[in-house]
Amino acid sequence: MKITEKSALSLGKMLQSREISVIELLTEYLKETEAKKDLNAFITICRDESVKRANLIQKNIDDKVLSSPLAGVPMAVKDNICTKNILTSCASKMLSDFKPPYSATAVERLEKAGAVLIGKTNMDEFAMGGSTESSYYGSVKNPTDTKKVSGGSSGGTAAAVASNQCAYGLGSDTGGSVRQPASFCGITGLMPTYGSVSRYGLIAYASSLDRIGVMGKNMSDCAAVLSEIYGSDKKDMTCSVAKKTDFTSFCDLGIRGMKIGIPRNFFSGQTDAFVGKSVLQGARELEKSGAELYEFELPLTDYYLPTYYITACAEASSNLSRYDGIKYGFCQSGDELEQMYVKTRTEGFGLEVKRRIMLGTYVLSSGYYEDYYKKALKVRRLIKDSFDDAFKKYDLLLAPTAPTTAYNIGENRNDPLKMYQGDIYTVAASLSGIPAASIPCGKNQEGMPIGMQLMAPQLREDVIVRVGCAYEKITGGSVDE
Amino acid sequence: MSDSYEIVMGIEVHAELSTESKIFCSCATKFGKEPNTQICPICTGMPGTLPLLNKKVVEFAVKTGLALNCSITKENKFDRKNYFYPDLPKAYQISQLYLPICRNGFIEINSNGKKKKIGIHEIHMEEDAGKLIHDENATLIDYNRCGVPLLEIVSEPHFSNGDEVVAYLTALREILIYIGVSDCKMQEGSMRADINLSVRKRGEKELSTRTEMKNMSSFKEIKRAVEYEAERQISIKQRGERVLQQTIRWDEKKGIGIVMRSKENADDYRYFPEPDIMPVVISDGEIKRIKNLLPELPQQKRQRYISEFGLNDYDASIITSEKELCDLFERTTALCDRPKEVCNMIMGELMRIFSSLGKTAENLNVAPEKLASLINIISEGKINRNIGKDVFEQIYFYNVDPWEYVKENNLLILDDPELTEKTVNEIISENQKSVSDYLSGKQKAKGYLIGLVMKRLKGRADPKSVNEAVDKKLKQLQP
Amino acid sequence: MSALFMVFEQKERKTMNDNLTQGLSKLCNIALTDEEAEKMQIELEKIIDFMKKLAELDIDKLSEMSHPFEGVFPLREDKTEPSYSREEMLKNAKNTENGCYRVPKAIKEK
Repeated sequence: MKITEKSALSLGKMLQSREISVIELLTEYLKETEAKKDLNAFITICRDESVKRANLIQKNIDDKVLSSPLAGVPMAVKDNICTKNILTSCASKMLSDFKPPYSATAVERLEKAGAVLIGKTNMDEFAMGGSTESSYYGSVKNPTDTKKVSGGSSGGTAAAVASNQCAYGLGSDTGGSVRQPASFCGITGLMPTYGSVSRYGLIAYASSLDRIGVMGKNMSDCAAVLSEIYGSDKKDMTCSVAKKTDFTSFCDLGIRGMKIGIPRNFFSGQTDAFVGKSVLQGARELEKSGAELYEFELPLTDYYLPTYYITACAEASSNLSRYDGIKYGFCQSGDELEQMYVKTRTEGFGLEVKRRIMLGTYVLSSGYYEDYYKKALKVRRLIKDSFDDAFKKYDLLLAPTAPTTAYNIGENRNDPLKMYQGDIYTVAASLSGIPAASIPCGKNQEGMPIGMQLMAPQLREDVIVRVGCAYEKITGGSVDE
Repeated sequence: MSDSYEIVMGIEVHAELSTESKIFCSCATKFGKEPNTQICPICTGMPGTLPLLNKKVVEFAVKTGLALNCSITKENKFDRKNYFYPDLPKAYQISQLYLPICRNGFIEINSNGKKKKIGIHEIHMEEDAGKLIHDENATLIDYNRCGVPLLEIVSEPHFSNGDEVVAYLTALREILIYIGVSDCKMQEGSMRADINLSVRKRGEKELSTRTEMKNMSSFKEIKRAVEYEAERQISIKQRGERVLQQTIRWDEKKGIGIVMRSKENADDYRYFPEPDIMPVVISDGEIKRIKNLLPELPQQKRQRYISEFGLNDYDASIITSEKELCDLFERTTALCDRPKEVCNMIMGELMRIFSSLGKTAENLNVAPEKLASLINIISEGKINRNIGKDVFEQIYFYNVDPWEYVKENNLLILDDPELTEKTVNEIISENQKSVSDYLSGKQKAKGYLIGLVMKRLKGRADPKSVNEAVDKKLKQLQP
Repeated sequence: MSALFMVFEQKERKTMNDNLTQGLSKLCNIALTDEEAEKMQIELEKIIDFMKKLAELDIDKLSEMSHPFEGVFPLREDKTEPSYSREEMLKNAKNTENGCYRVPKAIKEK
């Protein structure tokens, strides 16, 4: 096994025991990024900074002042998460030269734990998309089959983790952007409860839905990374209820007696038969380990996507209004103020971003607010209530992450509505504020990975970690075994 | 102005709150700093930053609402108001549309002797925008003011003339300063008033199209602008034309209103709930706590000064118009228990110094203990009233202790009948002309003689005994 | 009769949406070429039709949910912290002058 194929936690142990040095490990990963350039997973490789940092971390490990399990392990960060003085472009021409004077809280916390930032990953422009095809920097290719998409919007981080260009990474999830690319690339992606990880420094797409998520080779790695970034932050008013937790302590607790609900309607017509079968097969494996399975009907499935797209686009239209060419980012001057605004925004944004800004503007504008936006806020409550009800009976809900496996690059590009429909199973957890993860559960005939989605009540990431780890144990999915 | 028309006005006041830090970040709010030196990623809306609501802003808003007799909203939400303009770095202003923090209040005003209740429709919290500096062909932007907390206080359309507007603004300003939420300096823009004005034929029920006037820098200019705009609208109507809904910028140099180009997309602000700020719940306990922090308001004080201390209406309103004067009056009175004397000293001596120096009560530095001690010395007849005035000046300018000053400078009243009599005799023998004037019926001459005696005794004599001694002597001289 | 009515209704809808695309483009400060506008029009109509599904639900009495969870959240104490340096703040701006951000003249008066 190549060293870059190992899990982040086992690498962390090797670094602490001096089996390998931080700079040696980094060098191996930098070689991988060079060799796998064609996947287009990264927008920026932080070669010089990471080398400098590796030396510093090594010194701290040698001095025994840094003993965190992730110290010295290279990570990748999605390019919509701010990194101080390092390009943070959101994969948009609009921010193609933006170097923020601050880092996101999540990045700061990981750096405090000794993380080495190897690079910033490609994504759908402003995280709007499910295939990383809307990036200003071009599509990311799926490491399993380079003709196929890596999913999105965190397609860069997913591909980077899957192809061993980093040990783990951060993504962001608004309607499935961590879980769906994890599913498409065959890795683990964990979206924590809304407000449990600070959004400070995460460039907003839809504020009431956006979350930073963790992507790794297995659930234990994700649990370790989550433990570092989890918990309240004074810089984010909506992040104040979660307490710092060591999630790795839940890895070995097992799932005996755990009640797992399987919503029947998540396996309906639009779900690829092979995907459905694999996920149900995965559920059976859990049953063998002592979990109890219950099929049930989760209402409102047909309303998930309209509710999600109205809410997300509305917030996006407002969040993205700040890109006017004045304070930062791309600017196309004009003789008149209005001209400057229009030229900057017309040339600076890609088509999908424009489409969502216009949709969002539409649902908020006078005469339509009541029919669309206000209704969506009400249905959002209904959806959340339906999940609350389900969690009265079940500890965890299990479903496919996406209705299909990764599709061909370009296949859905001309049909936005079809693209949106790929989010059908991920947006419900986003709307309800609950944590959810995607873990690999087999491959289809073509060898493309399939993802199984685990959803738990708010602030119950521990349940997801337990189930995820138990599943890896059963199937031998954990990379180090 | 034609009498067949009446004016209907409502006022929107923007008051900057005197918090230390901005509403959503920790930048300072000081006025007059170098451009863009009080800014950070949050108040300039840099990507990835989030608003962090200042606790004090909520407290000040509740305080204001209670002082203006409003009901307080228990669950507060913020909303985004979306529009593009260079002074608004996020291209949305965080404000409150759907659930403003205060509603349904009123202020009582007194305009030209008539009392009137002016309704407060609502008060909401929001962030201020930056400042634009226009030159020949460009606009420069200073974001220092971005995110300074504002209260927008929206009145009902209850005004029918400029005097009422000024009376309302005066009263409102007084209250905001009193309760310590804003310094309300119009020149610095920490209080700004926009006037919505329309005119209609007397007796008409429907409100007519209104204009909104901005940019008046003083109450005087507001009155001028109101009069200008009312006349303009009336003459438009008299010509049979229609008033257009416009925003008008008042040009005080030219004394005219200038129609502003409307802000881009001004019609559709696409308000929606601000997702980055969780609802702010204000408990009954919190409201009670803030209520207890509320000082007695100017109007209540005025009434109390009249009924409790026997001040007249005029004196009471002058003293209660400034918080510093009230403090001095109340604390001094508490020490010496002579409210009328304290009032006279403030209305007489202090005001005289203010008017000769062109000063106001701001930063007033007269110790109530010293003023009380002076008033006691005078009232007990230990020094003369005129000497008391000098001592007051010494307290004001040099912060002397009145009792020590009187002793050191030998200013105590003379209790020496022999010296008085001797001096009277001297003056009379030196001023035979005045004596004969008096004896031939010129009453004034006696006052002149008394003055001379007082002068020779350096003002320290008891005027009553001097008067008696002069009278006695003159009687002896009468044929 | 009803067929004729439908024709008018379609016409009405078409013009409303034509104006709408233009209006949206103005509200967003985003310009579209004729070709783009035409395509966008069709896509937006399709998506908006899809969003209309919410009208089926009887939700008038429900309260809106603008945040995915509830609770009491701490506010910031009124304390200042040093601001960023002007240089650092202006660094990302394309046009500056005298320590200010600079834009084409923003005010026009009649």
